[in-house]
Amino acid sequence: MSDQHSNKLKSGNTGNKKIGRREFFKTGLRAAALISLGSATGYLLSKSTLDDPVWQIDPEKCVQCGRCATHCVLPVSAVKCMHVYKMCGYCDLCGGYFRPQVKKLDTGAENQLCPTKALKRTFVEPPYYRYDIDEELCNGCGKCVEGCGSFGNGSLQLQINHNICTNCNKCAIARVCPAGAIIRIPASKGYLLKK
Amino acid sequence: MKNRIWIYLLVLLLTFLLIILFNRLAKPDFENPAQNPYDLSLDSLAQIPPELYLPLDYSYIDLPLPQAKALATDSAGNLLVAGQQSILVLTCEGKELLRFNTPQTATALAVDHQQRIYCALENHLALYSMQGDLLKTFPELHPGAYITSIAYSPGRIYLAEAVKGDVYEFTGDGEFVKSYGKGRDKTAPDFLNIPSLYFDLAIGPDNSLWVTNTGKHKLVNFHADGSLRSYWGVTSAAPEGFCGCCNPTHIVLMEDGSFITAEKGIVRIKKYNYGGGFIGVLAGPERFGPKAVGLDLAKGPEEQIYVLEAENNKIHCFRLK
Repeated sequence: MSDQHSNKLKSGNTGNKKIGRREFFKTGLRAAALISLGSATGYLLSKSTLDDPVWQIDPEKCVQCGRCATHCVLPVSAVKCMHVYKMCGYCDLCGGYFRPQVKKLDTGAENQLCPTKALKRTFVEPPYYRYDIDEELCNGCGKCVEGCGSFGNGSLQLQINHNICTNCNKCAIARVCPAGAIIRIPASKGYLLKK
Repeated sequence: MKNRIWIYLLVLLLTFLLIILFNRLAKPDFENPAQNPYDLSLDSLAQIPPELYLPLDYSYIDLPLPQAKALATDSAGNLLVAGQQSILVLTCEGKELLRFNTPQTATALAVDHQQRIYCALENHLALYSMQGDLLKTFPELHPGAYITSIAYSPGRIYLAEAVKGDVYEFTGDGEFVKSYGKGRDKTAPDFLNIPSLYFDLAIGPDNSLWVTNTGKHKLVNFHADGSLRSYWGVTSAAPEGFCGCCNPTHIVLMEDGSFITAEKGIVRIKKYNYGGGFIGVLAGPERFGPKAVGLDLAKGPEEQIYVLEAENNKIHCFRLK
């Protein structure tokens, strides 16, 4: 009985046993190796997700043919007009907002170029106006992009919105793009806006 | 039994062929712009009635300098072109007389009465001799400045700076006199609204300064003290007006006070009388390449009008009859 008790005590004491220096380094090294292995795996995994190729429009090649609006597999195209505000002249007469030869520079539906009224015009101060895109309404037809590029600074540009795009293996728009403007880029790059 | 298999095979083949044929016919013609339901056709706007074209002689020079940025003429009738960190001096027939390097590509050029070349190197001005020797460097206007035009009148240098949309006036020695853009009512015609890097200056026959107010489609004339003298310009896509965000991109004034203007978007070279009345068209979009944008203008001593089409490496020469 006393032997058993002494054995229990011995085994119970093992938890409080001091760890030797060698043991400490061994455990430390194992933990460090595990942590670095975990971080490397995490990093590689995140990198591989970030660098997965995604579809994007090269605005230098885009010819605003309208097929982005009609050929995307989604009910409303994942291609949206994006505005590079830095390039915008905040003009009163915006070639991307107004139809050519409008009589009045106001927000009347008959004056607007966008078929879905997705481009919003807000007065800033004379003679400047700000133009914003309502992504819910934009169907990526590129009509405003063509108007802005022809008469303005080209600050309105078509891009594939990665929050909407399903990233089909064989993009339906890329197959019909006459300019070969829809290309694969690393996801980490995201967007190809002219600046 | 054997015959039946052949019939089945024939029916299968015919169905297969019909499917292929149907797919071919149903496929839209991607080369045809009419297939684009969202097409913004500018063709009708670019049409200029033939009676609006002015009678003229036309020739052109192939430019041995790609990506040219600026064009000017000297009093001898030679052409000066800036591009690829160099200045090229050509005779009016296109024969190369001189080529010298500049630290940056010049964005604007002007020649004074002593045949010295004022050269805008983005944010500052440099003065060169006609032999290409650097004579003087002016201080920079401000770090982000971009000079798009230089106008010279005896004793005065004017610089158009497009980033702040301001015109700076200097004496011939480089001493700052005044600027024209600040402190004006934003709704007034002389408030300079410059949406892009198209901002041109010209000196009238009376040595007064003309400035393109491109955001408002106006040409503005200033008194020597900087106050507004006059202005003209109509916003319209019609041939007599200016449209888009930044037109007219370039101007030149002739000896009789008439104006020659260049536009982008609908690429046109037009003539207006001294009061801004539309006279006619020298050239429409058909004269230039599809990528032509921002055609710099210069006039020769015999009233020639030179147009720089950098995208096509050409200098067009017009002489009105």
